[in-house]
Amino acid sequence: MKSIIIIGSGVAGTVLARQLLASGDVEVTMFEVGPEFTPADRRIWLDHMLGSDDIYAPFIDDPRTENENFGLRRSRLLMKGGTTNHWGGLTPRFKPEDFELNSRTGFGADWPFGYDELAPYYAKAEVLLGITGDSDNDDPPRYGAKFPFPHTDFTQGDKVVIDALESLDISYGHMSIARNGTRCITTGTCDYCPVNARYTAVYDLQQLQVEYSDLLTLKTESPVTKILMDGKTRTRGIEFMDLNTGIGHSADADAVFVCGGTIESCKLLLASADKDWPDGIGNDSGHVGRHLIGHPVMFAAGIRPGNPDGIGEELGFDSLISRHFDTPAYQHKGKMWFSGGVSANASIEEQVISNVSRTAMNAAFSSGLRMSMGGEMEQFEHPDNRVSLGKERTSQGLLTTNIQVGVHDVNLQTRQEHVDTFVRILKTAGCRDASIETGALNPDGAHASATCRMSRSDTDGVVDPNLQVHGTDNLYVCSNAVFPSIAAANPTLTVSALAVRLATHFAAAD
Amino acid sequence: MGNKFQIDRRQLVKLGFSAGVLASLPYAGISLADDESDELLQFVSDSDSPIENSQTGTLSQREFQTLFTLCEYVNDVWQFDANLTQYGKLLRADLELKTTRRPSYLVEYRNALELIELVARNTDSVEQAWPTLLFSDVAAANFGATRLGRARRFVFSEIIAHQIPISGAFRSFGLVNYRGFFGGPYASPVSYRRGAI
Repeated sequence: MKSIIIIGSGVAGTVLARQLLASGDVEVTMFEVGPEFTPADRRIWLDHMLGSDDIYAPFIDDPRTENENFGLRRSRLLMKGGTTNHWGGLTPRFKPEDFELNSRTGFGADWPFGYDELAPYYAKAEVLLGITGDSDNDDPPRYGAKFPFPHTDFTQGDKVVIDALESLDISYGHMSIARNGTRCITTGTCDYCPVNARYTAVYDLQQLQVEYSDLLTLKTESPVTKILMDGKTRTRGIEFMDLNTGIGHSADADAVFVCGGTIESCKLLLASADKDWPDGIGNDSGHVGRHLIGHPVMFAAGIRPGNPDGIGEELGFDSLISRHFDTPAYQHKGKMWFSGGVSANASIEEQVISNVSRTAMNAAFSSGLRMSMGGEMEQFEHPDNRVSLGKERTSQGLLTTNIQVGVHDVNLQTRQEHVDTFVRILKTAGCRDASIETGALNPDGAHASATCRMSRSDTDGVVDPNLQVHGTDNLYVCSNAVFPSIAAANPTLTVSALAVRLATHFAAAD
Repeated sequence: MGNKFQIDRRQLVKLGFSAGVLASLPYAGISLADDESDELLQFVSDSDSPIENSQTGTLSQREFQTLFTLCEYVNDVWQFDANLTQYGKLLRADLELKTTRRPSYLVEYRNALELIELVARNTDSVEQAWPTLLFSDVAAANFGATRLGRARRFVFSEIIAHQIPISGAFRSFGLVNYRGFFGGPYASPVSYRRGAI
């Protein structure tokens, strides 16, 4: 039986653990820096729904890790299940051209394989994450694979957005989203699902701990501080700290999988420098920590006068997506996906608490409809982008993070074009000019990628196409960190597909 | 290009921005009676957590019924016309979770109950105490840290925020689903209104 160490209990580590445990004669020990957490607990849900408690506040980054151009705080969660605890569940696939970014645009890097290589693993990941989607939408090609759950219908609010999109000849479709179609009860409190319908690694892991109680051990509040090498090519295990005692320990393994997300995975390789790897494991060519990218966010909102049909937000999660600007034609500028929705002009409870009369509430409700547009665009890596190690340790036992980022002018220009598109849609829908507000956010840790990128050669990246660290025999990275480019798509489905593919490769190589 | 504004990314994910409320106030101009002010505006704590939150316990049926009059008052004044019989059972169960698990709201609830009793002494009934408890104009510095300020935040506002979705009060506006309501499977035709595409 092989002894496996997985570092990180987020979606990558959890999907990988499930596949490894199911396919082989292995025992898995998983290390998580954050504490335990209980999904679908009625009391926690009440606190979340009533807004009386920021239930995720204890799990956000230490403030010393903050960077104004690439924020980490609140974008990722350090806890059992990682950032999937509060993710939106949006799961679009990358498109074929996304795997050829450098060849097509000169920016960034190509992936070492194409879309068709990943397509069957996308299909498996969609089942594992319980995704609802439109199986008839073949952009990108599905090769006959069906989503495990049918897509949600468009809402009455979507119709308002769709009418504007159709007037502008902008294409749209159904959002694919990790929401179990037989469990979801459309409560709209998806950040903390009361019934475990939205996929979270914490619930998946909870099930795994039952299914494989004798083969899976989870050590929470146990940050891994170093990967231990036995010579240049073989890892023999890790060092970790027990945060409850402050005492360091080591653990041996036949293989180590680093699934700590884009920021912590590269930091761990850097922190594991030794005499054979003086600049950090896998870093002889200097790529560890470089190429950091994420998703700049654009948004706009406005008020459309009148709401005679009493439209309000009733579904509580995105059911509409447009990938109209996520095509090869836009790739050289920065592709984008976006969604849009509506909400009533005021919340009922806020108005009661604010002593607004029923008559005035009726008037407010029918006076207008708030329309919102939001999207994310592909960021091109800038040569300055880099993650490096700080010198202090945070309260979570991690070394502080230094982040350096630059922004390409083309990304800034395109970001503005996308915002202008949102404004055009809002105006077409009838929003008053004076009511329209716009804005944009820099990328953050939620979709951070590429600090341990995949490459065929060790001169161009950190891991090989099978996610094995170049120059090592039994050390792997499975995280957004291995993406050579980020595309205009949320990364979770893609990293899950890579985890399935890695487990398949590992079992076959055994 | 419109005005610039700032937003948190997590809020953006929901694509629902809060809107300002511009409407008339049905209970404007209520003042506290002199003999109430000292008690109601007594400083307690400016903590963002419920005080003494390790103290757990269960509200008595009488205590619960007193708090439940808030739901009846809101349901009546705002013409929500929700069936409160079933809702009362759900609220009772949820308040039990708020007082028997940490951080416990038990002490905050008991503080609120004392204030209800105090104000009700000057009115004919508990029901008539609610406008004063909810909407009296208070100019006290650091009001949020007073007995009444904390009762409004930790008890009254939370119960109203619970009532709107769970009792189905939102239906009176024609909506079929609302954040916090268990609307049913998304494949169900009654879980939300579809657009005619």
